[in-house]
Amino acid sequence: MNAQTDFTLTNNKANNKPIGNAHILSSETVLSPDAMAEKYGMTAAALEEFGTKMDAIRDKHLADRGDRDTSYIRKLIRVQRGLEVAGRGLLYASIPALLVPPLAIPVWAAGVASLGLAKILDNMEIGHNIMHGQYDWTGDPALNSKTFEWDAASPSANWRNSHNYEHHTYTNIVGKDRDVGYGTMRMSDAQPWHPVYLGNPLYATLLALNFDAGVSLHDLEIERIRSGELTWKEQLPVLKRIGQKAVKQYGKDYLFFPALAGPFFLPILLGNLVANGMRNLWAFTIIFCGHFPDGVEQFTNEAADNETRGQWYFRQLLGSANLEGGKLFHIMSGNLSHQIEHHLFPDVPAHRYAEMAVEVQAECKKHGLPYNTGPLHKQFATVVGRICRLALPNRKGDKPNNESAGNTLAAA
Amino acid sequence: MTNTNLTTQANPKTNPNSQLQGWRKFAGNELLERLATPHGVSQYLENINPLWSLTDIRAKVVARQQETADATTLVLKTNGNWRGFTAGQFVTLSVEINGRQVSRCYSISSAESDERVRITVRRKQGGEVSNFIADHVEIGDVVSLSPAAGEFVLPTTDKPLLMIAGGSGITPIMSMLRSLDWAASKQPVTLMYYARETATAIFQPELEQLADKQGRFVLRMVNTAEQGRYSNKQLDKLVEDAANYQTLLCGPASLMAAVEADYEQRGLSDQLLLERFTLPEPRIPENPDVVSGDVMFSHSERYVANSGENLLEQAEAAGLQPEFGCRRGICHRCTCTKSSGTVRDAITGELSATPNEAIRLCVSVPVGDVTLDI
Repeated sequence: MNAQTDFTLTNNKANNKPIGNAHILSSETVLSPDAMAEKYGMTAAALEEFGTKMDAIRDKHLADRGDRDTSYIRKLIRVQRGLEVAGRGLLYASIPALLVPPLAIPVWAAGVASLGLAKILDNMEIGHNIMHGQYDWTGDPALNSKTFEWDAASPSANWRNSHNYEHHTYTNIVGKDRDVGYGTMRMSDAQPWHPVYLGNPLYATLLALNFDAGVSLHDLEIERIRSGELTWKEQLPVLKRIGQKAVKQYGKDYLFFPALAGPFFLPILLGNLVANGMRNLWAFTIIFCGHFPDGVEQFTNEAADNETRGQWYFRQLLGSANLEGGKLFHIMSGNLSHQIEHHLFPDVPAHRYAEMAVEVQAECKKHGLPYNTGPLHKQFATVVGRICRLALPNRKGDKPNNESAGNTLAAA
Repeated sequence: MTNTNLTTQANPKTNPNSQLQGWRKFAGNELLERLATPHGVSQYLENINPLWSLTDIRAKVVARQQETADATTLVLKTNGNWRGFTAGQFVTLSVEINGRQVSRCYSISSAESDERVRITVRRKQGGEVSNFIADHVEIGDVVSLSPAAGEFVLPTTDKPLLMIAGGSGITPIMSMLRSLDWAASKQPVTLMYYARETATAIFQPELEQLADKQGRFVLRMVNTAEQGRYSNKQLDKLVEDAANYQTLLCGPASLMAAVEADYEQRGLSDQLLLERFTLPEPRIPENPDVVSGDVMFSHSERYVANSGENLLEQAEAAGLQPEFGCRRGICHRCTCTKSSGTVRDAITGELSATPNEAIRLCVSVPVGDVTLDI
């Protein structure tokens, strides 16, 4: 089989330009694929074997897809719709409850919680996973990655490009994976320091509170427009989609639903605002724990060039981190708590990641590879640590190493 | 000769008549749609009851009838999105088999005036959907339908009608016979019905009854085991002055070919209306390693010889600009519908011949003829 040759990026004519490459330095922590393989003692043969094993896990689960997966996602959609309708209903029910004021606030709060949970489920376990094509094989138009639209500001068409393509293909390649820093923050010591990054913790807080808007604007690639790699004209379709989706999305939450309450416009608007905020904070927390906890590796620009399947799996494994928790926690995190499995197998239905994790861990153990996992509070604490640490210039020990910086720039 | 073709599938999901009727008109109003964005009102209703869809034609199986040992009729109660049909037309029926929607075209066998839509399916050896219908579809199940389509309908003519049917090709013709207003005219109707054994002939008792009751309907059962296959002589023996008739033909490929050739020889091709009933079953070419066949891009109407490269490369070489991303099977941006043909997954080596399947162009290599909906 010619799997290896089909898998390389050599035929990628249009998209092999790194993003803002001139600004990327190398460092002791951000390594080339070869240096990374050496660091973990992986020979070419070992990488190939690891890749074959990962392929076997993937094939096994793809072949097993069936009723179990379709029933699972449909059930989840039913629960999500139920929570959404109940949440909105409770928000309105808090209006007559004003007659008994001590009742109004808990009813309103229950409505917010229900709506917030509905949005979390919609965006994470349902939307994110459907838009990855995990359910395309069902042939059900309601589960189709190309037509699904989520209850968030970012239009799915834009998201499928920035996330499925750029982030999942160039995972943790500093300068190519735009999820490293979202174009505004310094999330890698290979990004040269600038006084503007003193605001790192502030930017992170603002992004967390407005995560869906942030994700939506992320697709505009403003930093690439500024650097001249893209023009506004080229990005016009992206901007247009953002505008159209924003009108619908914000119109619904902040105009039409509140307007139905007439004089009680504000409490309903506030309810929607808090529910969206709840989703934003949760999504930010989970997603930043996916690639930024301590121990996660970042790569230099040439990492995706002529990469074998084994090398790709290796990079995905080292570039991701898991979160430990119970079944409900995994569902509420859209199974991004299994970020490692998600990055290894982005188009396998995500509810299978827990099973796959056992198989992946066994392989990692065999090859002496790290498997980065921990409880949410521990992982998130190291993410916060990174955000704060990188607000300041690299300390002496972290300074870019001239030799590998030269390599990076030459490769770029 | 008019040739209508069942293999051209009707789009299973979109209802051309988007005009909503009854309560659906209210449910689908602009304000409710704005409140239900981005999923739309229909999605919420379908979660309660799939029949309440505002967009899709769905039908509940209200009865099953065993026509013969291997033929089953599903009696369907359609939802409010169904806009009726003309006798002789077909629908694309979708059922869910192990979590996957699978579609096939079937002619409707009921009368136009029948409140219920009937679809009669004969079990085919290895046929995924026909066997599923025979063994697993139960009363109360919900299936999806496309709007009715097809040009194989009763022609407006005063000429006597000759219907030639073979096997399950009887279904559209049965719909016509059931829909005819027998009292309205004296137009004679003759049916030549080919069957291997008369015991396996679908609808035979009802056809015999009809022949007894209606003087202008003549039934000619042809048992191929005893009387042989269709021939020029056989037609002349069973039907007097065939040249006077408008003929409608639907049956297996061999019967169709024999009748077509005979009519051409008789110079009667323009009096022959036919329906290619047999859908080619998805088939994996015998030698999948040999680069062969053509790639057809149906939407852009381009046609190239298979170069053996992946379909994304071939589409680009043909001057198309399909959307793409990673070019190695990760991001699903180049996913499109393969209408027919077999592809090999460049990563897993797996062959897939399922029609109307979503494939990723960048990791799909055509094996023989492939048609893509781009």
